[in-house]
Amino acid sequence: MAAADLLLDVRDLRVEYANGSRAVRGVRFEIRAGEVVGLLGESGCGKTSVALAVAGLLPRGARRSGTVALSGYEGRRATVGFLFQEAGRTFHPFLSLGRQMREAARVGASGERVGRIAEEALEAVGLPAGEYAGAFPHQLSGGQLQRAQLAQVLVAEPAAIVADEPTAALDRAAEDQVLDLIEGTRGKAGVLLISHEPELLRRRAGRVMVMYGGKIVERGTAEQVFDAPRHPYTQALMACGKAGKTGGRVAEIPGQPPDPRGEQRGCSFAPRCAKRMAVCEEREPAAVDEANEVSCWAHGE
Amino acid sequence: MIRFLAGRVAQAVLLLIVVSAGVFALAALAPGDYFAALRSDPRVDPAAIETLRTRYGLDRPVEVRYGVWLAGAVRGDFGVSLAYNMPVTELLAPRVGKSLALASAAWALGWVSALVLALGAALRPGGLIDKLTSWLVSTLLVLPELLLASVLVLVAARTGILRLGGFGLALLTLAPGVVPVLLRHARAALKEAAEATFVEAARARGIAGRRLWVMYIFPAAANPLISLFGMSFAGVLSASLVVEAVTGWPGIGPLFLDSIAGRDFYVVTVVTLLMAALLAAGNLAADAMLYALDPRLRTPQ
Repeated sequence: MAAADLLLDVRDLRVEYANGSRAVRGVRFEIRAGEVVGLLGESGCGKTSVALAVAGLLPRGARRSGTVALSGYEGRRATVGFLFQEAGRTFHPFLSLGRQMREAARVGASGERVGRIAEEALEAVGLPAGEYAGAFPHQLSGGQLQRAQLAQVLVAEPAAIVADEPTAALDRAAEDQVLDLIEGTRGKAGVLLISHEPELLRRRAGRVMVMYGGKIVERGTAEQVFDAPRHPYTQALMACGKAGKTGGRVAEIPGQPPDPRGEQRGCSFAPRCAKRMAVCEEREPAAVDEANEVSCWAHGE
Repeated sequence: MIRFLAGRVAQAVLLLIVVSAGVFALAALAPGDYFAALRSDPRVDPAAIETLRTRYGLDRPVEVRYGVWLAGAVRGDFGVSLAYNMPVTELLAPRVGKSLALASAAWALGWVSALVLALGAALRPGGLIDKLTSWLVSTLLVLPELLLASVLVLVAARTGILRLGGFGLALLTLAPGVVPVLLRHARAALKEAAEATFVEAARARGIAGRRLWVMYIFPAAANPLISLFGMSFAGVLSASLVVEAVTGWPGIGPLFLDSIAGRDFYVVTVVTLLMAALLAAGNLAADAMLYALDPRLRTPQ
């Protein structure tokens, strides 16, 4: 049934770490060609674990179950390109930018094409090779490093790009520049854009998923989710403006996020929810899937 | 590069001058001198002792003696041994070679085995070599060197497999103290490098296998090891002094210990300076290697 433009199809994704933490507890979503899908949540909600699991980058000892299906599309390869938050730490401090670009390009090409691909990718992100190929990572600014990391991702021509808080360490001008570049260089690649800032996703994402306690609790278009939130958690987030100002907790919502190691009974948000009913603490609401956009007992039957 | 190295050489020379002054000051603070034992002998005329003290300059204040010695040292005259009545350089020359041979062998053996084992452990975490090395480190680190030396000397005396005063016995006694320290550092450095964010990122870009190890992990692991490399030779040499005395290897070790006990002042000074010079030279070599390896040291921000 999968449409031809379905690039990433994630079903019943679960992640459990060696310490017993069940960071992701059954997540389902898909990304189609050309889409930017936002993933919003507080730190600790499991959004980075989703990103790592999709990209196949979970640490040793972590267990992943469920399926992650990737397809190539119009010349883009069936791989995931991953943008880390701290771009500076993704570059080897001893190797020049040009050298590291060629190493990345060599994975998918050989001979003299390697150098050309590396140069083109640098040009594409506004770091002309003539000027920047010889530079070392410590000589670049945070914004330049994040653009360089985008160039590293682009040489692989991935069908999907996962960006985990790619601009959290940047100022607003550099953030816009980086996000514009992702938009301008990705072609038909689908993007999973992860952030704790509703404002950023409102500007940049077509569809948005809200994550809480290892599950997606609400999804919809950006307008739907941000202008008319239906899940009490999303409503509380919108009321206080930001999911944790420095990636931390939402202080304005009383109570603590659930312990990822704990067993969960009923709705994971119930202890902090203003609209809690008896059933919320007894049974889990239906999960978010194709038919259901909000996982909440209070929301329409 | 030249300015950088010139600065370090100047530092090293300054260090040696400070060390020599420190040795002189400590010797002046310590009670008694080479003739203390003679003085308690009723058959020796105190006037004769005073004549000897005058001849060797011991009656002059310590700062004058230091000045005279330093002026001589610049010209290659490092003083005389009171016990052997010959120039210190002449006395030490044949023994320094023996000590350097022993320390070099233990040092090289230590580094080769540490690097090979650490690499084996890093390539397969949790594998046989990994377990073996962690056992080896914890066992050898708690094994008292003198106990091992006594056992080996006993074995040599009883069985004749090892010759007392021979190179094999000395090396076998010295090496087990050297290997675990280097091995532990090499293991930690490789492990840390293999887990660095830029290695994870390189893996995410598809860079794998030999390229990943040679281009990314080894240089990053080399960074902390190079400093250790520079310092370690002087460390091995000072450990070898005691081992030489215990096992009977005719290096500077036995002579040095006798000289300390007998207040043969210039011998003690010159051996101490030699150790300091080797330490400074090792650090200098390490600095030069780091300078070549790490662009952050040679290029501006």
